Amino acid sequence: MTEDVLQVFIDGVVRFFQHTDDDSVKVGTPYLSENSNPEAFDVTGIIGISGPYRGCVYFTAPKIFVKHLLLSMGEQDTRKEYIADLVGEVANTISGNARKAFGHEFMISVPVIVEGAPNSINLPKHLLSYVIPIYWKTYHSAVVICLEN
Amino acid sequence: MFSLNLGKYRGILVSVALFLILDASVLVLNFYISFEISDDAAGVNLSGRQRMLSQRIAKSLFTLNTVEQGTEGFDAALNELRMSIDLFDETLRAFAYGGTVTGADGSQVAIAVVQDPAGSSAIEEAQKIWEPYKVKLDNLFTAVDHPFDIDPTLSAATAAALASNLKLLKYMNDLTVTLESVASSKATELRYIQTAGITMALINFFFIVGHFVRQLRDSDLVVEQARRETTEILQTVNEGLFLVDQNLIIGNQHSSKLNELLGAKQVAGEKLLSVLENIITEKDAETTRGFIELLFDGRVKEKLIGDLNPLQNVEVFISDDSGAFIAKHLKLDFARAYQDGKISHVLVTVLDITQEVVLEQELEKSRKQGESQLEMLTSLLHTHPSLLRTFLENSRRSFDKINSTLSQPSKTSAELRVKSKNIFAQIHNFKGEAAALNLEYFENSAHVMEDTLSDLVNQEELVGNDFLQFTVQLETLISYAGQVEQLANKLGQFGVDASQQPDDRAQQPVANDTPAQADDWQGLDDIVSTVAERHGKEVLLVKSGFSEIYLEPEYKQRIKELSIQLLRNAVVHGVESPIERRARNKQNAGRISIHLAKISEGEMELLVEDDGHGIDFEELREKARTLGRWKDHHIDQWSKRDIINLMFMGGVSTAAGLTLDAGRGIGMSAVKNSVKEFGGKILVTSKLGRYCRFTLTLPIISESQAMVANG
Repeated sequence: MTEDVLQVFIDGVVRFFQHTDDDSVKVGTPYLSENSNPEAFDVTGIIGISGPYRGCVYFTAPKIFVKHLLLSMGEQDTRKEYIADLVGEVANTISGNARKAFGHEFMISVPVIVEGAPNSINLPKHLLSYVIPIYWKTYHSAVVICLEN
Repeated sequence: MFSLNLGKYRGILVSVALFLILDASVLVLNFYISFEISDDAAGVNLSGRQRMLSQRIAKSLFTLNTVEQGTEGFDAALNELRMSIDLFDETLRAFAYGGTVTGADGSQVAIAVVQDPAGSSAIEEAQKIWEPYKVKLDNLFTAVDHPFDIDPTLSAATAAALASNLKLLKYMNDLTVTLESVASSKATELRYIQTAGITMALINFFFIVGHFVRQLRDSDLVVEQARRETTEILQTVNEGLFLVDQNLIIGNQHSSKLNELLGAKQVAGEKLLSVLENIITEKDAETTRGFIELLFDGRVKEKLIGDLNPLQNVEVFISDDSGAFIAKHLKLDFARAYQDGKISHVLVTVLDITQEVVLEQELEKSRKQGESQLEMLTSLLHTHPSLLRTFLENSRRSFDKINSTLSQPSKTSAELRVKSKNIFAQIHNFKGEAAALNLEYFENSAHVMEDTLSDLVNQEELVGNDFLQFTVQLETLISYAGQVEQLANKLGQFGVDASQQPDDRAQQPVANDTPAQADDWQGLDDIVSTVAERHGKEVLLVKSGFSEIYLEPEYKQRIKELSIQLLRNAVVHGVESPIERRARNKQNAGRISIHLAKISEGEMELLVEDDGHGIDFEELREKARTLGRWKDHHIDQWSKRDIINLMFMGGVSTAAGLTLDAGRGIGMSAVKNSVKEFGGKILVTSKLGRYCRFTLTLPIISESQAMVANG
């Protein structure tokens, strides 16, 4: 996989936080994770990718992170559905950015929100995933990219 | 269409036509007979009037006899007589010869000649009586009009009346009865005709109903059976089947499998392209539209455009609620469907070709893998399998360590710089070991990664994202190492593994050491000769003591990394080129000794010495000046010890340029850090032009617990 492809997904997340008018978002050093033990926080928004690269990309964050993010965006309600919606929104922004960058060559599925780590079907054991930590205020979240070509 | 189906509907059409003709005939007859009956009724009325008129004539005659001439009563009776005679005569003649008469309402009524024999004979008889009777009556009027004496004519007329009146009445009565019976028989005839007509119409109706209900029921049965068969086929078939019309709308029927294949709940009646919206790219959707349009164009040959079908292999990505994505490969086939010789629809067949595609991909993958493994194999053949295995194990450990360093949260530029330096040291060690085994791919990759890290270290502001390139390189390297490992395992299976072969060196009895452990140090010879060759130098390595001390494997690996670093340093910076050596009256080949010895119960000494040109303190001082990090007067005051410290500082190198083996100034700093980590010491002794010796005092760690405690 090339950096350019990874960068598109990272930019997607950063773009989402730019929309929140809060520039305190920071990208950590990317590292690798084995799919037998996927990196995940409480809530995860997954998008499936097919085309020249196939696999999935997911944004995962602790609930408290999403709650704070909701509040900072002026949303008072931090119930479960709202949390899922916001994580879906982040996944959507990643997907939108990818669509724009890759054009029609790639097929990107609508986001699926799950609690914890994605289903193992999406993470083939023989592959490594790229984990890009995303820091916002004092919280840690991550965008994880598992693609093969 | 109508003309084609007439055959099927001929029966009903003929029946309906017959029914109508029958009805129309009955109606026409009805009209005709009812007109006749109406004519007969007029005749009956008029013949009845004749009866009345015959009596009125007699009554008027008798009145004239009783009233005096010239009175009002006489005139009235005379007028009535005159009118009655005219009317009677006119009507009787009409009955006999046909003609029109004045009706009861004063209008003219046409009368046909009476055909019935009884009727005509009554008329004939009446005429015979009427003619003389009328002559008498006409004489009376002649007398009244001239005027003569009326008495004789009145008496004659009255006498005639007395003689004819009753007869006349009888004949007129006969006529009436005859005409009535004619009319009555015609009415009966009409009833028969009507009854017959209605009966035939009813028979016709029941025939139509019976015949067509049976026909409808039969065709319904056929339709129902066909429908049931179609449904059964659509429910059972393993492909997605459906029709699309010219507007690309999917038909109302489709196979059950279609929903599953497309992952769509509602398909019937939907637009094809909206159903495929999330499955195929916009470009393919556009091509599909064009392709189907071509299929509907009868002038285009279907076979010729088959290759234009953009959906011969569509990768579909269907997500379920659990967050799982199922990738399927679908093939959509399009074929024209004809009705009455015209293209009515396009039949679309959706096939799941996942298995075929996956098999094909796997074949291709294994072919490529085979090729790359062969390539890999040739590059690995020179490496002793057990050394390779150890190398791979160590590599995995190094990668884990590098990855773990990468994953440590660090947000500031300074933290990131430290991180990049740490990783550099780790990758540098890895590179050393790869070089020791002459594994060029690994060595070159590590070198490129060092380049990436150097750029990061030199970058003014660092952010996490800057490490992306490095992480990608790391992943590529890990994946390559994985492939090499697979290959090594395969070779092991074929018995190529050295651990299964007797090895001369390993056979020697060695205290506290295993054959495999002794093997591990063989790599040092390789690295020295590789590095020496690369730098155009000749080197003789003398090695001792390595099999005498048992070390915990991971610790041993670290010691080996240190040794490699020191040996590499000795080759690159210590030993001179053969030309220089000859100039200094030395042998062409430089001599490097590496020696490991136990110096106490818990300590050992690692010594690396070369007979090269020793440390040039002045050269290092100059180097420090060019770096511009320190002030010149400070540099002037540095002692030899300070300068040696400088050698162990990151970022200072005496190498002329950057090569695979030297030039980054990280190697010695890594040595210092490791020794510090183990709680050891470094002693450097050197004589310019003669030798340089590094003596490392290190703990002996033979248990893994001890390693943890010290590490």
